[in-house]
Amino acid sequence: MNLSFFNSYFLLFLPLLIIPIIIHLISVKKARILEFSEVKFIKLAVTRTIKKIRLLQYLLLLLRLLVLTFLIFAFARPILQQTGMLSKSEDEPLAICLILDNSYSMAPAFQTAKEVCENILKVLKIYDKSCFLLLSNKVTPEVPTLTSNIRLVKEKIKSAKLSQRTTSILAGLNYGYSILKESNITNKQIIFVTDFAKHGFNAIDEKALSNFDKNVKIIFVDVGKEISNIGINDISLSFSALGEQGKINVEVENFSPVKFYKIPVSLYINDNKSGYGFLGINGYQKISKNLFYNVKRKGKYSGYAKLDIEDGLTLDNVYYFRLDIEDKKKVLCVDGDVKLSQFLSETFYLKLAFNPDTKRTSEIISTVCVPDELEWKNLDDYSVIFLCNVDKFSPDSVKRLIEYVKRGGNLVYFLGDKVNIEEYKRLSEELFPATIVQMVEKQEFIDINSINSNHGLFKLLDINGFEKVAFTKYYHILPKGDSLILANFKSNLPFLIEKNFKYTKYGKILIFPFPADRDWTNFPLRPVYLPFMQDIVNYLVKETEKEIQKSLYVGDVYRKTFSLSNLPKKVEVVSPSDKVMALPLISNNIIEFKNTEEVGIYKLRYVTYDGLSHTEYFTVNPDVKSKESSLKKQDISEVRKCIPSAKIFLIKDYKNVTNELILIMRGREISKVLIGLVIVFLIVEGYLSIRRTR
Amino acid sequence: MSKFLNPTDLVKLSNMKLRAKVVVDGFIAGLHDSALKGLSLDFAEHREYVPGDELKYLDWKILGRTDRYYIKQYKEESTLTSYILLDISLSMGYGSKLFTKLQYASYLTASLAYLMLRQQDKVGLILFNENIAEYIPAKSSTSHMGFIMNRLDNIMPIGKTSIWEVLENINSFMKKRGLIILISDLYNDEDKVLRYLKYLNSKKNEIIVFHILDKEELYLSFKEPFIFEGMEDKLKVLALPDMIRYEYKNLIEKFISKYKLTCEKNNIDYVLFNTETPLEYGLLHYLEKRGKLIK
Repeated sequence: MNLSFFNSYFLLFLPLLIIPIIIHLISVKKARILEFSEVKFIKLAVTRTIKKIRLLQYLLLLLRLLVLTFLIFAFARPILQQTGMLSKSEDEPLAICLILDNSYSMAPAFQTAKEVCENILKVLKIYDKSCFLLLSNKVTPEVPTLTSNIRLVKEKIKSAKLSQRTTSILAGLNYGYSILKESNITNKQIIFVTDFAKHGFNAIDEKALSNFDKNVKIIFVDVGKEISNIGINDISLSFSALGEQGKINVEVENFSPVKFYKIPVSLYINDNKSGYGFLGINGYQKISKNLFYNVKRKGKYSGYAKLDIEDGLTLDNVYYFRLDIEDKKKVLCVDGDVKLSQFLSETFYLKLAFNPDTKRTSEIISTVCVPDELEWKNLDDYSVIFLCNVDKFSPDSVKRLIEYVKRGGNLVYFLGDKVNIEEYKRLSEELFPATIVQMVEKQEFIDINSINSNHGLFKLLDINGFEKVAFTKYYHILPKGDSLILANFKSNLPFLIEKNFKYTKYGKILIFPFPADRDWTNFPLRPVYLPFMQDIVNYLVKETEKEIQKSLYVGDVYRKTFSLSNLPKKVEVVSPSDKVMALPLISNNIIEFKNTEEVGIYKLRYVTYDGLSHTEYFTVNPDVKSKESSLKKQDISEVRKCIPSAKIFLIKDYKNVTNELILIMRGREISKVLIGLVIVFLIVEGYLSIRRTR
Repeated sequence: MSKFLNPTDLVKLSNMKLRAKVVVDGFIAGLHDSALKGLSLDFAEHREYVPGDELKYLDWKILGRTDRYYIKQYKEESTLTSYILLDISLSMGYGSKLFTKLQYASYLTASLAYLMLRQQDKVGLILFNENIAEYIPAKSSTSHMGFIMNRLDNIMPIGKTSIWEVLENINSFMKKRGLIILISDLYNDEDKVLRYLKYLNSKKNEIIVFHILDKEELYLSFKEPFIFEGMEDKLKVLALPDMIRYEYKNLIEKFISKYKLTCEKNNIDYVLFNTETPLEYGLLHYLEKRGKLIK
């Protein structure tokens, strides 16, 4: 057992103990002489009670001395160190794993936290050992092994920087345990200097702790303040039905009980203010604010939404995004059986399927032409060309169509009564990858079991819708070369053939052995027709656009796969702070970028072998959805419940951290016990005094 | 209690006779039965009627002539000789109030003597400490009263106590049996004192013991510690009254009860007085005892 004091200067009052002794002696000496008639009874009474009186006197003196001593000790705040497993004597060395929370929620308190860390080092003695870690959802071991070099630890604390990551106390605990496990020192502590916010304590329980040691004390030093804060959780982009105007939904969450009024929200695209608005939000509410933008030209844009407010955290008031503005999907419908009545036209149902609400602009814009126009029309303006019941192709048309496909264009054939079978047989496989055997005239249905629902063309479709599609005539066709049958009739003849070229740059060709109108089938009247035709366009167009526009969180890995036909010679990433980093290719055509520690817009620049330079964007945002932006404190009893066998302490008064730490690490304060004893002694003293005079 | 005089009030009066008169007259006025009835048939004198007198002694002739009430008094044959033994040792000089035990005892003595002489009894006074300091023979004359009162007025505590030696010698002063009234704090060898009291009792004397103690002697209610010095033996004892009170009270009770029980057993009247007890109680005890003796 060892006793030390927080306020040892109070011990200067110990000489006051002489007072009760003096009082005791004076009270005896000051007795005056009193003449009394007969003293024999007094003498006899004194003789009989002298032992009892003396005992009582000394007991009272002792009690008074104890009361005074314990009172002085209580003010001096004594710390009791017990010898044993858990509490060590003052001279026994300590092993401390000091962990500084540098997650972005620490922004208001980070400087204080660093000062607290330095103060903690003051508690250490020359024979104590410490290590120093920075903690977010990733542990950065600044001083990875236990050392007596306090100066080194101090330097690392001074140079520590705030990250933009979230918090994981669990990660810190596991790292701390693994370091302390290697030490022979028995008195071990893991000290977190943190804002003690609730979000950092996810998934903590004893089973999740590797190398868990119940003898290691876990000490949290709370340096945070519960400041009101709001942040942008997420952003979603959508097209508006109104022309070219786009809509952005900004999801804002209030992490505090305070209500906010008229907060300005701004939208910036390519650093130009493109939209703004105001929002009001109640305590702990989550709302969505719509902002509109107007970008006329297609291309790849970057931007951010910003809340103009001074709140607890500024980082979460900005959310970055990437915006790919594309042209609308344009398709060309070549009508091989033009009629005076639009209703009877070969492409009537197709056009209707692409744009069912003729009063508004659809996502798919269709243009109708006759076969002869193929000779001079700019085919590259269209993503897909539908060839509907075209009897034959002129040599120029054939040549232009083949080039079109090679440049990535897509063809879809609908074969009807105007088709000249012989002419089609002469077409090359690059243009018509099938052979027409003959026309079949009989009632026919689609075999839905033959449809591969995982195929990109069918995966969004309810294929049961094909069940009632009936045919009276169709062509018996066979695939050529490596063309594939995607679906069959019930007679097992092909319903749809697809040609995929080995060059990924090439477009695709789809062949349906029936017309696009109602001449041979009820297909245009079935509900499945409209979505299927739109899916054909989306399938053929989207296959060329594989980029994912989703934003990354800080610490996520950015990964891009290049097509083998378009491999880059040189790839580099420019960070939001304009730091340029070259990236090597891994696995032939993949690049990975791991250093996403900075929130903002990153530029990916690469040069392909054809000498063209490309610039793309990807964005990194703080993980606000993880509730890191909520500065609400964790309840220490909850933590204790999660790790019941651990010794867990919380120091709220970080200004007094050294004293509190000494208390926890080196002993137990017994002031309250002493005050309790003083009260007991005073009661006993009172009782004895009354008893003495009775 | 309130109908009796507070002893402290007596201190204010100028002389002992007056004190005795005040006590006795007041006491007599309060009695229902006259204590002044005589036994002789020889007419002595008339006196005015006082309430409580028996009507059979009323002189109807005088009433008829003068319309005033007179009582016929007869010359009484005195049958009682009383000796008052008053302790004047130094210990009797202790008093925690306005007056000492000796003062109180002298008031009691004076009152008793006054009453006795009014009764035509013979009264003798013996002042003693370790010896008989002064002896006043028993007489019943009116002038005797003045003599006794003068002596009591000038009384001072002196010497050590030796009650038993006085009791041993008193027999030689008493020519015939009578009433012995001992007024003392009885701080002496209890066994010896009781032995001689029993002896005197066996000689057909009637004995009344007035045990006079101060309130502090009974309760030792001092708060602060004192070095107690004996008034007679000059012995010094340091004591914390709070501490010893319980034991002291046990001892003093034992001391008192020894006298009380032994006296009761031997037909000796024992009366404990503290200095706040009204003197009339003493007179009452005397009258009771006298009544017994005369019957």
